[in-house]
Amino acid sequence: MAKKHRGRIQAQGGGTEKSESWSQDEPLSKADGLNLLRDLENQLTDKERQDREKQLADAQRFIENAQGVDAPTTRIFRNLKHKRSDIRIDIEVIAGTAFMCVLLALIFLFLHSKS
Amino acid sequence: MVQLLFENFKIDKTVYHEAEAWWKAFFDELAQKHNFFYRPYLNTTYRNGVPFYDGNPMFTALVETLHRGVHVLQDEVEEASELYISGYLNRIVDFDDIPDSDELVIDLVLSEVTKAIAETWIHAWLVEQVDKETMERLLDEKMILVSE
Repeated sequence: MAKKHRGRIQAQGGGTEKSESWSQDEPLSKADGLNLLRDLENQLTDKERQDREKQLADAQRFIENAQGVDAPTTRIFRNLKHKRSDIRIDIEVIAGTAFMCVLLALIFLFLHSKS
Repeated sequence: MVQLLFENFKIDKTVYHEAEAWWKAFFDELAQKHNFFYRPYLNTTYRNGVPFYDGNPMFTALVETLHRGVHVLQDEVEEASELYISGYLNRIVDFDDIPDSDELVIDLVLSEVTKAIAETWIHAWLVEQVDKETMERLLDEKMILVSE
């Protein structure tokens, strides 16, 4: 059975297609979201990372500032000064909730265990 | 000089809502004229209901019967030139409550010039229902990118 909270962070465009995903019973925390973004960054070549420097920084800022995001959500981080906007980082929350702070995630889990 | 539409939408929430309403009216009119039904398919708010207020996305429209969507990203001039519009095709897969579909992503600074191009692209994608190859060609022909 599919997990309730799923999504992926992807580096796309310009011939690149790399991603990190999550699939779990509890909402993805901000800390875990930032770790996934870091894991994705580590998958990139120097050139791919250089092309997406701004996009990675914007995605990180979004996760850090988010107060929880429900599916279906797609955020596309691009750099308009970098020719084509398809050189990008996408965050897709495809089911459930992501980027909750740990305290809210614990409350969420507690309430669900009661229901 | 290029006449920008909904200038300062990122800092003026009233203007932001006017821009959203403009896109909705555009899709409503297109759907009514060509007899199809669409629905927005991506959230534009955080979990607490506060809008992103950054035009990412500004508007989305899914025509389920076609398995095609349009995803509009709107930006302002500090990050781009006054004349900027770009587009690409993307595949939407695995989402709860969204059938797997192809989406046309349009990224633009909205002006009279780019509005006309976006309208042409959306018409080709949803009304003429051109194939993906033809759509890619139309996108390449009309894109106005930021010069380096």
